[in-house]
Amino acid sequence: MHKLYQVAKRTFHEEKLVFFGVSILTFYFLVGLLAPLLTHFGPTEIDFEHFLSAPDSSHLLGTDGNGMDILSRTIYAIRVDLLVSVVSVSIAVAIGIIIGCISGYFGGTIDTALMRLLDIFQSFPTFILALSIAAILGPGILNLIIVIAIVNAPAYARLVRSEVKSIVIQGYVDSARLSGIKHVKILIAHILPNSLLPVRIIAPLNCGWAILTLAGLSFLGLGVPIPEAEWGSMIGAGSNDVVSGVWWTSVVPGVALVACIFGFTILGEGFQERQRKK
Amino acid sequence: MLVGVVTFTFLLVRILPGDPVGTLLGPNSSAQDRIDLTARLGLDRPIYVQFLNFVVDLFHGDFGKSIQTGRPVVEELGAIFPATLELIIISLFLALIVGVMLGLTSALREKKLSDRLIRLTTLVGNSMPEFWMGLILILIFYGWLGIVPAPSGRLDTGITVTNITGMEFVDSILTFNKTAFISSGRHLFLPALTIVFVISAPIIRSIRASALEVIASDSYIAAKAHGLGGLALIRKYLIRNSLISLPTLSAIIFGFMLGSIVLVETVFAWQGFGQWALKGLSLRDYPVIQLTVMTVAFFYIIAFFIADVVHSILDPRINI
Amino acid sequence: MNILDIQDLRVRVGPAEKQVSAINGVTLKIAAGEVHALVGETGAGKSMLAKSIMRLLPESALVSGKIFVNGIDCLELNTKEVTNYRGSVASIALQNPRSSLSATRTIGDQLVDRISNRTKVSKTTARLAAKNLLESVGISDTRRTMEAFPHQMSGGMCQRIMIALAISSKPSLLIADEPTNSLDATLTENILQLISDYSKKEDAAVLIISHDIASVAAISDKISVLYAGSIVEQNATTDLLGDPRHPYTKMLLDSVPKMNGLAVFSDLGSMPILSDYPTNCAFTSRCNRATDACHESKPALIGLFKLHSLACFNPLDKENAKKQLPTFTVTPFSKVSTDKNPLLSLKSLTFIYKGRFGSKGFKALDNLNLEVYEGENLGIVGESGSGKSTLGRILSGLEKASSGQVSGVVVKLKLFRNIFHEPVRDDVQMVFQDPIMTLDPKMEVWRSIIEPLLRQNLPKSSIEERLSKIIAEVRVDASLLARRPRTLSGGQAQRVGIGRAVISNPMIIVFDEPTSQLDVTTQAQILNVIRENSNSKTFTSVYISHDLATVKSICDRVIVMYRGKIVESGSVDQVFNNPVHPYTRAMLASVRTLDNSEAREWEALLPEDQFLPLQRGCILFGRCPDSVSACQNTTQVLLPFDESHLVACSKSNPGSPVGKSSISERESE
Repeated sequence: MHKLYQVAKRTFHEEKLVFFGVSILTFYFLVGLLAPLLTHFGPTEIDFEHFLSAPDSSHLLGTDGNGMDILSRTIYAIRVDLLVSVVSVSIAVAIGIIIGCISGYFGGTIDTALMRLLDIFQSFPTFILALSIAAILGPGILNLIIVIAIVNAPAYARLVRSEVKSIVIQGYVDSARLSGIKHVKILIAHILPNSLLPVRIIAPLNCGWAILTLAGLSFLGLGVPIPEAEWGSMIGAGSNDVVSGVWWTSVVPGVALVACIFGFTILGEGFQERQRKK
Repeated sequence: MLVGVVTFTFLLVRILPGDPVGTLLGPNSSAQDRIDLTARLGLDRPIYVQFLNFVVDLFHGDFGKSIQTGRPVVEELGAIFPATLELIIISLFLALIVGVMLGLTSALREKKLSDRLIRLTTLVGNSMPEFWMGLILILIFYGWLGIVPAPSGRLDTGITVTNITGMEFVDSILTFNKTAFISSGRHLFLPALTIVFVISAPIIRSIRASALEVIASDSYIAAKAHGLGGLALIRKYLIRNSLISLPTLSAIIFGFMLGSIVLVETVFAWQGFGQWALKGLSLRDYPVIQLTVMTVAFFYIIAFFIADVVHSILDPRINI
Repeated sequence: MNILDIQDLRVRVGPAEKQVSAINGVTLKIAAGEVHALVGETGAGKSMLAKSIMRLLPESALVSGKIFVNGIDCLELNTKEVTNYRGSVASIALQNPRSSLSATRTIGDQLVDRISNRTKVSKTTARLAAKNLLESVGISDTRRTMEAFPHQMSGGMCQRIMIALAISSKPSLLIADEPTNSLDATLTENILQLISDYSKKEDAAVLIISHDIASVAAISDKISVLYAGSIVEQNATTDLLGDPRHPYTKMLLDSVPKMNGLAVFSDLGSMPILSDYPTNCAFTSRCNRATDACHESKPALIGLFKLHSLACFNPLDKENAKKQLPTFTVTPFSKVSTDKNPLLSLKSLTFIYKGRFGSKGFKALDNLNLEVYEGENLGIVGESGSGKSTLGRILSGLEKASSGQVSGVVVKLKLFRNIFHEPVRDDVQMVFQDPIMTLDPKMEVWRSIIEPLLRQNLPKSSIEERLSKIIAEVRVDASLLARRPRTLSGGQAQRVGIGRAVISNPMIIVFDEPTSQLDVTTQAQILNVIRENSNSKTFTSVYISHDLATVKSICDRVIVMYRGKIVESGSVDQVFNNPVHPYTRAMLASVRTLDNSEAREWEALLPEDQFLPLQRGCILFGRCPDSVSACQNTTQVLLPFDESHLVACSKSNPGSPVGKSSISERESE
């Protein structure tokens, strides 16, 4: 425990971005985890006496058009957003590493074929691709995870591929080959550990983008199924209220959304800083 | 490349589950109605025949008719695409100006307060969903300040402009239509501001990083070492070299905007390309979807082509 | 009148936790018209010194002392004054000229920038001045150069342009930072001459910074030797070279490879990076003459008679100064036995690097025949682009030839690829050029060394035993084993690499330029380790290098390569003492050794301005001063000149009819 305190203190002084990023995300994680304890209302619980009511003592942040408490929904939404983004980015990373390693290490026709495939994927802007695949697969959390994973994987594949290619040029891969080490063993023991650095740096930022994509899809109605609490869909539902002055239905989840993404963003930025200092 | 895109488009669209005919006619339609409509739309023929027809029609410039409205999709596209393009291009243009200026300033004042502030702003910009940004701006500028018209469409009701390019703002300039000019400008203001705020963030970061690299580069130090300094040094040795990565980044951002413009259009009821495409997607209107996908891919490729050309102008080491 | 007068300069740089005391009390004076060489190895502080004089140090640097240039202390100048000072009072021709020229401005524009910077001149006047400047540095086609961009220029041209830029405002002090890095011999001479001429013509002081004593010795009046941020010895050039009194100077001079054999070298240290101002002599740990005084206080630079200054408590005396180190014995010719069956045999070997989309590709090796015999030390010599590295990779099995046959007696050739295992030739190992990059940065060094043993499934105790045996033989200290490669010095890392290569008792070891990235003294260390091991073990070694002196000292037999072909081969003795092929002769003529005792008179080759397409005939045609029209059409073949001495030159080799007549011609002259 004391060691943790030491680490925290040092990080605060030397790497403020990392410190605040981790703090924000930890906060979100804990709040999301302890959601039932922190909220008076369930995420889809309807209060028939308060439809679209402004913040007051019973509903701290107001209710939406369906009578559901904004504060509770915002807090429960943490679970969905964090879960989807982290899981989908992890899957994207895994796919990317596999493709990148194979492509970069073996080269030749396999490499060209894989890269052409990625080219076709990447000739569409990510959001449109996400839209299309989401439309194909239909609603549902699992489908969303798959969509976001597929859309993000090509970037990791390219990143890992170029790292692997530059590693292969360095002599220790040649030396291992001369020593008769099998390909798979070379990939796992030498190439993998050395190619992960850029991935580690990009991943947090990518989680932020994943949440943005998820929120965007949900805003348009193509994301999380309706009663589920998710920031994007809440904003979508509340977007028409703004003109009439009802701000809490969209502003509150928006603030939560931005702050969460911000946490990931500054964490990613902090990692990049750390790398630059070396 | 184009072949891949076309094939991919066709397949993608056909993979969509859901039945356009059923959606169009509604749940109470009779089986006979559905069969009739399916036959009329040519959807009952085998897949490869459909694909052949599709390709042949493409060569004739016939992209089919919208299942929803029956009008040629190209016509519909022509009606709404310029408006979206107008928004994107104006926003990109403004964002580039803002981005380059702030990026260079940030690099030249590295580690000072202005640099830190700019960097913080870019971090926020990178974390900002544009649809929410739009809503907040509406709240502020319309709800509280009231200086901007209601977010619906591109012109105030009752004002019209002759249609030359399909872009209201441009057309109003071309036809010296003052009222239309002011009206479309006011309507453009918020959506453009929203987009500019969000996309200038990566531009500032990229320019800043490039500029810092240039400042630390051998050639910049060499110029300083020989006594060059001040504005001349910045103008001749910093600016052009810092801009080298900009064309490619702009193309990527252009593509990104094309894809996610639907979010901003929804918030501001712009009635543009994004919304049209989304509707087509939801209703499984195949020709619409096909044309959408192909248009996006087409413009994406053009954007990169232009970027390549500009890049080779900026960097004498590259020959196309 | 001293143009440069540095007084007790001390510089500390770096972030708070990792400060480095880069310059520790340098005192240096350079007079008008004097060319002064500052010599030192990596980490000595040479670049730091140059930056200090030019006020290019980072803002966080801590500087004390004075630097007077033309009577003004440049350290006291404010920002505006500094901009005026740079270029007109003191100027610098930076390292890496190619990257120091802005890629997006034409050469002409960059020149005009400097010329019109201070004084208002019309554009035409400035451009005319620029053209004159280009001519004065030896560029004849000024019109084309003015409109060209840096990436279109060759390395030599870039260096000339850099000098032109530096002298454009006629500075009183010119600093040349490593002006001859990666230039061939003729260009080096040219550039140095330019610098020397400038000094004489403008009566300017010139400071040349270099790690290569041999090349700058020719034009310098005085030399200062820099070690760990202090000058340890300073003297007139000939006196310093002939009579070095500081133990480090002597070590430096001893490490320069000589053509008469490899010196036996026992030092293993490297230049220390000091974090604080030293309180004693920094060389002590490597010095075999260190006394108590050396450990206790830092020797000051004291002026002795004439131009000699020395910072040492226990300098060498005249006798020791002139003493030559013992050398390894040079292999006599008889050891080369070519009658047994070769270990490896390459026939008609061709290797083509595939080009991208449409370009034809580059033929790295062209119809090559080579045999490697057991127990020999084969040297492969050639400049960059000759194909020697590619040949090395094919010999080891890392690359497959595009066409031709590779066969051998002992080695099993399973050159197939499958997804699990790509076996290369058994028992071949390689030592690579960049010592640190060729070790897995995430693995502790001992893991890298024992990796070749993993295939044999030995018990742990055997592995440990072999490890401790090997590290003793390659002189790697046990304390280094648990470290990561980036924390090692170049010399330490390369010894680890050699340890990795020998640990599995391979049949052949290929050394691919193992010392070209190392400092002179480190080079000597590594060559010693290699030589000792090749003497005591039974492996066959193939040593690839562009440095003739080292090849002569390590190898028995040598082949000379040019653009993918072998032009001459034979025993080291034959080829180096009696070279026949014009290319070999030109290469030997350009070797710059300190003693210059074997200055050869052979004609240099004409410079290679463009890459001529490969013709059927002699690849040297067009550059060879002896070539005749017959050379253009006759395919050159390696034919015996004398016993096992093979030469591929139809003109000089009496094995061929053209050759016979030309030899008799030469003899009758």
